[in-house]
Amino acid sequence: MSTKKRARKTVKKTVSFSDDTTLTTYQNHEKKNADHDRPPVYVRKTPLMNFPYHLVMLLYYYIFLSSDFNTVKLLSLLIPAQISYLVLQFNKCTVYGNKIIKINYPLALICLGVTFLLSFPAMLLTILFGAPLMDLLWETWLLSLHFAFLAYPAVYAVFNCDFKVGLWKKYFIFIVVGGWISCIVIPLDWDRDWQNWPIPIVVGGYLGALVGYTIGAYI
Amino acid sequence: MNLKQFTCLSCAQLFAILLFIFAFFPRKIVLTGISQQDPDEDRDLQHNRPFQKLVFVIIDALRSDFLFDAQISHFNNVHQWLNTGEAWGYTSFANPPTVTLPRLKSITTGSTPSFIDLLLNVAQDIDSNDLSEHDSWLQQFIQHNNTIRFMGDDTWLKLFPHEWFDFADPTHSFFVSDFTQVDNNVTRNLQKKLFQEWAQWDVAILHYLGLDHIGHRDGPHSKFMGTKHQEMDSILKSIYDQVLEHENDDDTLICVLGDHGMNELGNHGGSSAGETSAGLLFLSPKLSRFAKPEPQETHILPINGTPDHDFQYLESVQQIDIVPTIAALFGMPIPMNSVGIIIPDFLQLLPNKLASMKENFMHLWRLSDHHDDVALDDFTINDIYTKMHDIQETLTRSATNYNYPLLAVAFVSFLFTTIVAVYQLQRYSGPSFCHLHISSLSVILVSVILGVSTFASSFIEEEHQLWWWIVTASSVVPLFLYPSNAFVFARWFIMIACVRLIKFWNNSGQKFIYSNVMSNLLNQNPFWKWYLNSSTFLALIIPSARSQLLHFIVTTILVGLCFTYKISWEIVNGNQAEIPPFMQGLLTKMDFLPTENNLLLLARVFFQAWSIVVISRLALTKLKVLDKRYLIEDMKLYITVLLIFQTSSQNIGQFIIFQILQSQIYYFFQHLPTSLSLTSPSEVYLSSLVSLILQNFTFFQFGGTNSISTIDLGNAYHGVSSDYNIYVVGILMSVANFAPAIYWSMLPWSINYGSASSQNKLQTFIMSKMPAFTYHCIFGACLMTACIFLRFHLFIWSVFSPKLCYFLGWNLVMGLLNGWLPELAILFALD
Repeated sequence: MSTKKRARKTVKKTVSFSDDTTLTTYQNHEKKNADHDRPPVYVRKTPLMNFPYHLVMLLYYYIFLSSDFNTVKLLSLLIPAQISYLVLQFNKCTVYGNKIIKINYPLALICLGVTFLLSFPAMLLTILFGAPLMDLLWETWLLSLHFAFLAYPAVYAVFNCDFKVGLWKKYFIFIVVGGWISCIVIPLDWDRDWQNWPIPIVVGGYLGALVGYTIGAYI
Repeated sequence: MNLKQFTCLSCAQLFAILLFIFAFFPRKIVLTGISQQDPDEDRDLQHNRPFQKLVFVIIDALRSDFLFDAQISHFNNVHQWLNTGEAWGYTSFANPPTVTLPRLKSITTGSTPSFIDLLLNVAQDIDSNDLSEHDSWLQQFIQHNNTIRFMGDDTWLKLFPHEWFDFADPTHSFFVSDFTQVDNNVTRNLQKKLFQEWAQWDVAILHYLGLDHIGHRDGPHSKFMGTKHQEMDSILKSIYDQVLEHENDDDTLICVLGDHGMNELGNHGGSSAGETSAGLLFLSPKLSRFAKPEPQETHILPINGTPDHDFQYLESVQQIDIVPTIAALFGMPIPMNSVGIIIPDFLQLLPNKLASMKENFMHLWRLSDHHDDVALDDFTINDIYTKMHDIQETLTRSATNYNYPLLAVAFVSFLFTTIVAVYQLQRYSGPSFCHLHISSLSVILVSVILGVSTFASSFIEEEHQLWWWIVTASSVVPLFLYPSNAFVFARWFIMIACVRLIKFWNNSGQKFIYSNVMSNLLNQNPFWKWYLNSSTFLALIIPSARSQLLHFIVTTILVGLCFTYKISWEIVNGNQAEIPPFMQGLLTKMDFLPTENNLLLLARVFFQAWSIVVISRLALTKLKVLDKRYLIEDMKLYITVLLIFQTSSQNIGQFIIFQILQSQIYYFFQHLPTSLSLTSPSEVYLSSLVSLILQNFTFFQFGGTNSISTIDLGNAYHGVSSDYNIYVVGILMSVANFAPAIYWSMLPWSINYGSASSQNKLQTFIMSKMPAFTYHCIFGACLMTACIFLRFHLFIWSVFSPKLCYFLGWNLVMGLLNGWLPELAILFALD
């Protein structure tokens, strides 16, 4: 439905934080000259370059190697891995105004802080979507931190590319959808360790992010 | 499709479900006839029987820890007897369904119950419960000319003919709000009918209900529990003192047991450890002369908890083992259908223990369809017991058989209605059959998700999680459909916060029980509960002021009556301290004295006032005296008041959340983006789908589950006196249990009938019923397939069959009664 909606809209002339202008601009890009107020932003379609190898390794570590699903330790591995993914892979695929911009280290650092702060609204959303309201708050916050740092490259990109949220929205959505789908294993009566809160959702979030960063450029 | 065709389709569906249930719930093969022995042998056994008198005390829902656990038990005398060896204690396994009638059948006949007994427990008028022709230890006592006296739960008199009892004083079992009178009615006869006429009876049966009633009301940790334990304990003491008093009469056996246990909410019916672990106690001065059961040697009572919290204290036995044990101890043959095994500790009391064991073994051997004799002489006692346990296990498992041809007919006809329903749903929504429109697609998607989930028993138990999963998914849809501005976002946020709050209100399912849920918090802070409840009542009155004056007055009266009743009910039930004083002051100002009788009267006044208001409102609108613009809104309000009347106090606050949530949903429906270009059928479908999702979601968040044990009986007796009418109670019970679902089924009314012309209204009615109907068809087809394929599954009777009953309930109550009557009445008035 949403694509249909977008296609019908006329191109807005104002500068806004929202979404749709970027895509429309990009779609029309080949016909028109580049608009310097709104330079095209997109992710290059280079599957090998985009692919988040570190997420696969982290998942493998979390599921098969780590003892009793140590979510804290996973987080401490995730943060450096995401930073290097951003610097080495993601940023090199992001095209802004027909060129790849160099990594902006101070901004990357600021974004770390922002991502950390983002974990609180993420926690609110997690609770609204069904995390226990008064119990297991620490686990829920850990989960939100994971979600936030999974989105870290996208957060950086949002800041780096003039808040064109529309293009990066899908990365956030993929993570959320992954977490949402993974909830389905919780009610099963298998009584496994990995069914404990928040382990399945963490795994689901990682899988969602994995899919998101892999195919994000094509959507 | 016109109304006639739709009616036919609905009837066909309901008929198929009923047929399926009739075929699926098997009646067990019960051997007729009464066990008999060779007359000489019988005389011999009777002469040597270890005990002469039996006092059989059933304390309803006496869970094992109530007898044995130091944390919760107040049975101090019992602990003392257990320590001296005068009493032998066991944890007995009560086969599910753990409700009274099937349990009594098991305890007396020794057979395991079938699921159909559970349903009959609710509909007790049906005659098939008569055990007068069947063999039981009562039957054997009668055959051996013993006198039986009975006092307690009248379920016994439904099972056994009145003539068997030399004296009988039955009490009603279904009136759950009373828990002192019901027990005093039993105890009052002890002195006169048992103690003073000691020589005139051989068997006395006492059945106490109070403890079960406390459990239903307040749960196992209720403040009333301690005193109830002490009361029961002192009654046992008084009986035991009588036994001791009758000098050399140490041949009286007192048998104390719970017919089942209860779960942590105080309900029963399912198969959790708490529900199936009942306490069992044998008490006699004679027992102290024999060796105590082994665990009693090593443990000093009361025991301080069990390692796994599984309620297994001391030795664990099957509850049906009581039957051959009693038969052996009183020198009688084992009842025909018994699959019990004599409790090993009692062998030492028997005059000829090898013969008794052999009889027990041969009995089981023949029951398991063997006709040859076995030479038992080579086996040791332990070997025989292992063999008997093996047979017992097979016998209890395979006690069922199915009517396959009938099942097939029912299933095929249900599949047929499903295909017709899907076809019709599709035909309305799009230009052609193959062109799937998003609205009908989502209906089918939801149905298929839920349908497939029925193949996993845990998804049936935790169905509320699936609905929550769907609710979260569907609640993000507005974010994508509507222009993203702050106003829409605020609406959306309020909506999802409401939904989350509803999810927070109660525990549902079996797996996750949180103590921090709204209903618990409210019960711990009762003043807050009543402030919230009164604001809910106010929130009903205030919007009615915008309508006609008459409506405002009528609503105020109805709400006032409802509020007065709710407060008085709490006071009558001993929770006076929970009501804020100023609300009690209101009662005194109104000169209303909350007593049992006044309560009954008040409830009847409310029901009468409500019916008069609703009927006259409909009639006056039809006669065009009153404006029909407000009819739908006003009717919704009246029905909401009735629903609140039938809701427990800790859930009343949910209705204010419902009101807020509903206004947000209306906003989204009124401002559907034009870009969606929804045809009117799809809009009807969408509103019905939202209604369906919320019905199921809130049903579970009101504390409902798919287990029989959470059926709320506490609200089924408003305005009903002790000589109740089963149909009235049935209707009240349905309204109480489906209250939130009924509320949300009214959601599409204003969306659908706001603008449609009268000719279209009937068509809209059918269309709005299609999504729920299709959902029930697809879901039911999957559920039936699951039941057929998994008919030998371990959980077939504890999970799948209750779900089948709930499915029938949803179709009958929500689909037919609630889905058709109110809506058609309104359409008629609007014409």
